[in-house]
Amino acid sequence: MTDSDNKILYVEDEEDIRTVARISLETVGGFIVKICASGKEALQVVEDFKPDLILLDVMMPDMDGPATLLEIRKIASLKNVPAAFMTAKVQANEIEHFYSLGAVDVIPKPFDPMTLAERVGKLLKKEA
Amino acid sequence: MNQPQEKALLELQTLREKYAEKLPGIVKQIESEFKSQFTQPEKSSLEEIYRRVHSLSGSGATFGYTTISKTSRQLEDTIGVLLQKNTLRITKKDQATISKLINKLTDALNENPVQNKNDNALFLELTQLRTPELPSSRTIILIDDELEFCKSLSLQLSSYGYSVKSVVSLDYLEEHLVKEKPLVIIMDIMFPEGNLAGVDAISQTRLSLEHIPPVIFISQRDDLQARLAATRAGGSAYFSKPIDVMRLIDMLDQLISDSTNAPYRVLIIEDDEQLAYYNARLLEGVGIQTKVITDPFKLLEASNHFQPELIIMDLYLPGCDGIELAEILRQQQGYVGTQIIFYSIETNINKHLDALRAGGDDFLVKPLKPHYFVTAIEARAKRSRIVSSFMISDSLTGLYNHGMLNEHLQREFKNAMRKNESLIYAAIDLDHFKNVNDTHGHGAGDMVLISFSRLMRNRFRFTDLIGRYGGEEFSIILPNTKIEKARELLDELRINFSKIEHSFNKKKFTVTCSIGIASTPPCKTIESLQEAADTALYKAKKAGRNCVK
Repeated sequence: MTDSDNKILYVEDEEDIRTVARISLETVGGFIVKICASGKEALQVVEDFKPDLILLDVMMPDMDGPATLLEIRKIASLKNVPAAFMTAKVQANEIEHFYSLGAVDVIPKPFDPMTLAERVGKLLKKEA
Repeated sequence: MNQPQEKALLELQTLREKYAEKLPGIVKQIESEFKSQFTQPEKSSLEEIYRRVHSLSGSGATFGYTTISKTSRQLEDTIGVLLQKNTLRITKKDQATISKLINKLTDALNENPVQNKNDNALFLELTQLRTPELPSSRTIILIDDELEFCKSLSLQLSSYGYSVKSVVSLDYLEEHLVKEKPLVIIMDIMFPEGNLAGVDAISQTRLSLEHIPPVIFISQRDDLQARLAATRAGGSAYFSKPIDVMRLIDMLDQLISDSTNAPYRVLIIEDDEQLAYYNARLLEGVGIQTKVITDPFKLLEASNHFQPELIIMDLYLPGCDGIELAEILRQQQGYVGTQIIFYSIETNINKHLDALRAGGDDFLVKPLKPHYFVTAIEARAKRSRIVSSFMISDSLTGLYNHGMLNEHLQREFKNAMRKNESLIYAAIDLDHFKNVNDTHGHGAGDMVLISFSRLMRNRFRFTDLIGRYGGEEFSIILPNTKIEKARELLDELRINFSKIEHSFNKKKFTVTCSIGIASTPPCKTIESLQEAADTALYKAKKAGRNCVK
């Protein structure tokens, strides 16, 4: 399962989860991964990195996941890049809200580190 | 297992250890930050704590600390409400709630993390370790002033995998509950304090603790007044003494199973992918396991693999329609018990009737409010599980019947061969069973069979398959298990069973069992595996019974 051409940007404020995600996406999935600790940091790198998919934690300090996605969408080259939210909150109306923001998936947390890459791989295929 | 996965598992394991090391520090910090908020509240700090407990709730869940994660979530909600109120004063009541939750967090530091199921399965393959068979959380608290009664009941319950904490007085009830976190409370009604003192104690506790587990009342009294009082105090069940232990265990299993059952499996067939995944997410939100297929021609393959308990089907699909699909499914014996729910925008009642005639169980008209959709599906999935459990099981013991177990054996055997894993098959026979019926009369034998089945169900993993072959013969399939481990587990089963004291018509007796184990490798076919187990069982009988060969 090495699909080394695909680039994933992951935005997550929690350090431990960042590390787990790196193992899942890089070691298991073989993707090129950039991980940011905040929405701000993501905005600084996203344009140059040109991700094929963006994964966003929903609840983060300063700028939350949805706000980050809205900002990223303002960058012309990233208007259509697929994005998915990662969240532990699973209320129905919230999920609806995330999809209305143009998310292609809402991945429940905690995610299974051994299958996250597979799910992400499917999203990439679908969006390709 | 391929190499990247192996590497990932090792990395994860290191990470887990690191997290476990730093967890106490995180909890301590939250605690001290809260303390300063009580005396000098400040909005920005409260927001900081809010974020901290939120991330603890997330990371706790990721690393398998369920209680820590849940408790943090409760804290998060509590602070969320405070922040919304926009007042800085933390009332005494809120302080008490917060302190209680923080204590709970501190207590939960001792909890053993549960590893994610898939992750865990892979990890086991790697290390050939096995997690303890019994979840540590089957704790029950028994409150009764008769010490001898407590002793004998807890001994019997412990044979069925329950860990019983006995308390002989009503003092410190609340403290006991907080400390032991029992799944169920068994409460006597009469105490020296009064004829309904047990009931009153529960009612009192309800006022001070926000959550108390289900309560089973037990009593010498069997009058309506006592039963009424027990019901009003929120009792889930009432048993009069002398207690029918088997029925009590049934009740315990029932009260506990709701929280420990495997998730329902729901398959969604829908050509609108976005909508399908959206619905899947809604169901996942309440813990239902889902699989989505958009191509109706993949239905059979997906069903065979996923074994759904319920299928949600659109009426109009590319290439064929839902009604045809339902007919095809219904022609297959294995799917008789699977619920088929149509979910479509079609409002024509004649179409609905066609769908039901084709074997659909219900017709839901799109779009449904998310909450309604989830509730409707969940309720039907639950029903489906109950119905199929009756169909595939032996009517007396609830275990798999002969045919079903053989079917499972075929599947597990192929699976083991493919993955090159060791599979265990054991034949079990109760010793001198005929004597039980002859000596103790009609009914005693059935009771022993039920009791043995229950013991097995409680003692083995969810993935282990247990069946009754007929009479007093049982067998069990343990996938991915080494022979040494199997021997240990089955010997434990044998010893535990021999310790159970059965009583029938006021006479007490014990029964033993003999067990023959076979495994692949060395056995290369299903037939040789079964034969080897039978031969081993025969040896065990020859060797004097009550042993494992």
